[in-house]
Amino acid sequence: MDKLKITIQVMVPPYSYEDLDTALRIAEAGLDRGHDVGIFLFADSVLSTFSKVKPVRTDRNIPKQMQELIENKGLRVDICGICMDYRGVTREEAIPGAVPSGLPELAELIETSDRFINLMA
Amino acid sequence: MKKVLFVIYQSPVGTIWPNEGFRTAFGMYAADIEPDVLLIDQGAIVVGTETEPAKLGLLPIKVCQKYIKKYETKVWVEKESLEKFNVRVLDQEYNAEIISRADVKAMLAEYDRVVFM
Repeated sequence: MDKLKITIQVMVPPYSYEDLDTALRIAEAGLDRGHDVGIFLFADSVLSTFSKVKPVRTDRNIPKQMQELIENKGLRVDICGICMDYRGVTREEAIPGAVPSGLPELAELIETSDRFINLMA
Repeated sequence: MKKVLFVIYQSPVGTIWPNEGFRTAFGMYAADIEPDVLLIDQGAIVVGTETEPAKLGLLPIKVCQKYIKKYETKVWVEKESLEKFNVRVLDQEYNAEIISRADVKAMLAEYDRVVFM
């Protein structure tokens, strides 16, 4: 199969809904098959990059999972910069490798991706 | 050029999604994409003349109108949703075209991307 460019857009917060979990599973499956995969974080989903979250031991650490996919498998993560500012998430507090971005970049991803998956709770 | 439809289905009072949906649609012009917007279910309440969340101190929705006009963004609103939520008088500044549910089904297939917000 040809290498596909896949973008997954997520809108909702990481610990109220499970769209982020879905996005990370799809992303990992795509990366494992050699595809170019990115996640675009919009609105409250930007909270999933907040490196200081402290879930209970039995729960998953979503920012950490995302960071591992970035570092180990080459996941691209774009964060809506305006959405970050709205929610007080600074670049220093976001996980390394997640890049502040914006609507022009989202438009570019919609235009150039072979598959665009929109997750909306 | 890709055709992208933004489907707004949540209320303009109590959620941010109509604002975010329109804002995202307008952002598509940066990539030379022609976005359309479809208002269904509670999203149809957007086009009512009396719909003004700003009166409750919430995020204004009518600010979208000047950009709809500026970019000539096509806005659709579903007939059955208007009826369901008793939206009888449409604010003409949205320049929304009414479409039936049956026609929405066919319309969705015409777009390269359909983004629900």
